[in-house]
Amino acid sequence: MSAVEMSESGGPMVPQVVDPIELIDDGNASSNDGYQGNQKGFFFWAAIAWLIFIVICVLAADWIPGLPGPEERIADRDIREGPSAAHWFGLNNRGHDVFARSIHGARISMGVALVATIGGIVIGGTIGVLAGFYRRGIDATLTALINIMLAVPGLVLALTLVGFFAPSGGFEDQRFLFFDVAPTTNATIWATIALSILAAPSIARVARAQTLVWSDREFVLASRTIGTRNMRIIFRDLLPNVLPAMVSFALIGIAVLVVVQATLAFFGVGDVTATTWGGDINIGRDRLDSEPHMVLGPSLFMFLTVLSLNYLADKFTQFNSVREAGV
Amino acid sequence: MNQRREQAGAIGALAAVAVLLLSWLLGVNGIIAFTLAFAAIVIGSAITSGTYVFKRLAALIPTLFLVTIFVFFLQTQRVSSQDVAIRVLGPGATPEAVEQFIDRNDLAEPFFSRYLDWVSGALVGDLGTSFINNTSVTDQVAQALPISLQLMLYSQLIAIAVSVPAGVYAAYRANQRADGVISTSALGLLSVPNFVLALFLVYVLGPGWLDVLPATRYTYWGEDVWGHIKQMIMPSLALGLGLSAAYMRLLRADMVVTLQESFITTAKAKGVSPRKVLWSHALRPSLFTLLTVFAVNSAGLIGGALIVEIIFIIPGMGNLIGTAIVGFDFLVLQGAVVVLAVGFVLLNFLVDLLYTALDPRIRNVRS
Amino acid sequence: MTGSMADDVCRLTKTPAEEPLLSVENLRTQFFTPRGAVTAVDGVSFTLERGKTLGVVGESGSGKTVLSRSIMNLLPSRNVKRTGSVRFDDREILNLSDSEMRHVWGKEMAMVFQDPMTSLNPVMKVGKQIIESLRLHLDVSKKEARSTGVELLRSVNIPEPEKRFEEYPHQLSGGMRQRVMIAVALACGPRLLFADEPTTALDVTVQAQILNLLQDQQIERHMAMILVTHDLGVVAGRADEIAVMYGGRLVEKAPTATLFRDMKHPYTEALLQSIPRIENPSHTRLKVIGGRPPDLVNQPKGCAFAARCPRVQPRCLEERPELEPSLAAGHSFACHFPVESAGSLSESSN
Repeated sequence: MSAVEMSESGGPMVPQVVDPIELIDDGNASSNDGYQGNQKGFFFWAAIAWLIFIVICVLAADWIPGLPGPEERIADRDIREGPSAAHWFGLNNRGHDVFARSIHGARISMGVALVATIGGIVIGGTIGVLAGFYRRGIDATLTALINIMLAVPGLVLALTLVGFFAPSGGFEDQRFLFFDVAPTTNATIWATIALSILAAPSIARVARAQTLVWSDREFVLASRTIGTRNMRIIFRDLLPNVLPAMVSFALIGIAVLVVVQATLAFFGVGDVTATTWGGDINIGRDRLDSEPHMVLGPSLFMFLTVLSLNYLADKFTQFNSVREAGV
Repeated sequence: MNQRREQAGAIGALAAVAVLLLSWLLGVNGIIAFTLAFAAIVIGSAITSGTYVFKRLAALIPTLFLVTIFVFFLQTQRVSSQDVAIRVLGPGATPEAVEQFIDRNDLAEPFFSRYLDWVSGALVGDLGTSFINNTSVTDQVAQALPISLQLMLYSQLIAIAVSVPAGVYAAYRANQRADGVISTSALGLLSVPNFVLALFLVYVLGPGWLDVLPATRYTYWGEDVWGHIKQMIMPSLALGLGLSAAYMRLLRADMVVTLQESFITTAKAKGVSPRKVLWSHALRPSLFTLLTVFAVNSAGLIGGALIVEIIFIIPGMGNLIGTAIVGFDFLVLQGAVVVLAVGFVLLNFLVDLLYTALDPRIRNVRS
Repeated sequence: MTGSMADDVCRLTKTPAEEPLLSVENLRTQFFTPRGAVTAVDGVSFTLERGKTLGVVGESGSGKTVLSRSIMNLLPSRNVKRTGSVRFDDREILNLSDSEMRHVWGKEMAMVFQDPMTSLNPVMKVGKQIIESLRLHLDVSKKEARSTGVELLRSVNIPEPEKRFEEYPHQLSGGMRQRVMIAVALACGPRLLFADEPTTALDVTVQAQILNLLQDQQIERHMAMILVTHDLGVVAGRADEIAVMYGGRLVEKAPTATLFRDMKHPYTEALLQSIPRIENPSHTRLKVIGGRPPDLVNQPKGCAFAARCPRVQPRCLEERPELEPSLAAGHSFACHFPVESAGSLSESSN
């Protein structure tokens, strides 16, 4: 009787193995598919490529050879020509190349959103992790704070902050903390701060939920029982687990903030002199009937950027859920 | 017995919404309607369960306190009374005029006494008077709110009408071609900012191209019904289509999970048709996330409608807030934000009641 | 379409009683997964007379659940292939479409699922779930359906049926829910009932009650039943015939009495030895079957049980044994080196 062994406990009568029917159902839920597979398809790489291109625009638009500057006059302001081989998105009412302006516009449009997302993760992540880790009073207080911030429509909050702190007219001192800055830069910095504050409560919510889940896991309990300091548990045990789950959320955050930033610029709040997608759409708005290409160029750039971010966020969520399921 | 009371509460809350909608349709003053609805919700829910309502209302107080004191702080710290006076009176104002203005509006008073003044007014429905155009903030909000509620209602209706069938069908055909088409379109639609969508609609449907819809000034319902509908189609679409994409994705994700449940197989094994399985068995348990987001969006939508209201020249809350921010009319801004925050908390509250109607399991948990 | 289906069914009911109600021939079910094709049911054949009970026994992963769902055509429609023949009431139903099967589901065949917690709709009142199929298959008014529904609840021994009718599943205990599930399945008076591990998710104290209820209802309604379980003890006193499944195949099939008197397959023997027996001293260790069920993607060349079999010989690894009749009537088994002794019951205690 070699294969039929004696049980130590008289435990389960039959070894538990996944029933094929469950296996099939799982397969249907996540993995099997023609389109939304877990394999990185064409669209995945296209989205990555577009974002790399945008990041290059953010960092090095001024040094791209042959690209006109945002304020460079190509033609007299009366020409306003449509798209052509030389000027892909045509010229705007001031004779600027719309395509070149779309590329230059990435710097502030995307740069503000990126920095603000990082800021939002730092602020919101801290709040969320602390609330989730310490629970009780701290959690109650921070959750109340999060709910209060969420009770004010985000765009109104951002407009209020930027509108009050960085008036586009500029009638006060041009200092940001201890630094003398140009009024335009001041406006941009305030826009970034406003967007960070805007993103923080949602991020805090996710971080809190994740922390609540992870801090109940055995390895955290184990760390506690051997007397590890709280900060060490947070940094060594929790953060590495909480952060990956926030990647897809951060991507959505950037996408949302790109749109909010554009909305602010479209609204004419903040630095109105800067070249941004939202600002250029606003400029083109009055001439929509006669020169739709003025709106089309920056809109297309913004659409592709937001689409790429949303798509990648979806993909990361899938990777994550597959990874979780595999655990 | 408890269930009966829960249901009564939910019905009361729904009645409150009906009162609110009816009131503006009949042209009743917005604030009165709002107060009526508020009272109806409170009474409806007081029947439901006392402590729960009090907890909810208590949560409202710190929210309102912080929001108002924040806006107050902004205007006092950042914008001096001199600036306000100069902005209102124009750059050429004499120092005497400025002095007089500050005096008249108590701008020189200390921060907290001015704040308390405002709060005591707000408690009896007086949200202050705008410096810019010297009109009552309460009146301005009362005029703007119903218009925003209309826009919100229309765009939510569009969003639900599009997203529910699309989401249900995509979940039914999960990972097949139809799902691929629907889900990809939703992702695309989700990536178009609503002001870009608005401009696109204006270009395509407006005078630029097809010339079928006006992109002009808001028309009142009572004034010209057909004109009102025609005018509201584009703004409602601009807001509703993006929402529908978001809703559809939520519904699809939840529904795919529900369709894997064994009670769906039970229904199938009874001989229930796929259509009935989807609509009467799978839909209701899949609605929870959608409902939450629906509520969160409803309040957010009033703010989010800001740009759309400005593009389409609709004199709603968005426009009011926008004008107030640009014109430093902080009392108007404050009044509007407070009303939105109250609305947000009440909506969340309403959603909780709806949850109990949707999911009988929750009833027991709470009681 | 609907009319002709109903006519068919009516005509079919009049077939002579000698015909078996259900006859499954060489049924094979394959799932196409990312890992490869899984053959969950592999060449299963059996027949079931009207009013009789077949017990299908096997451990998790043996394909017994897939077997019952394959017969009922309840598997997901995609990435699944079924071949062979399933004749119900002398009519081939294997290749019927879902819309055709809908006239059979609930009305002719019904299923009681394993877990009553998840197989009842949590947001629908119990009563509505019962009368749903009544309204669907039988031409009854809402009022009639309601009184039938309450009657059904009473017949499955639910106290205060009128009150329970208006309740939601979460307000009932596990045993109650399974009774409701049985009432749902019995609603239209099916002629074949599948009970897929109907007691696994329940407390031990309720298990016997539920099994007895099933048996009573079966006798009362002269309904055939396929009772799927991992527990030989469950089917011992209740099934007319027992089929033991392993790795998607039938490895032994016999009338109940014959099987317990003279089991031939080592797997059947091992299954029996894993059940606690009342006549043994209270701390007797149970035997477990070592190893895991076979991988259904890469099936071994020889006997699927060879890797775990105590009696394994080189031939078992090379040549797969076929299900062949033994000397006893109705008894067949698939093993090259069957268990010889007739006294396997007494051996199990040591």
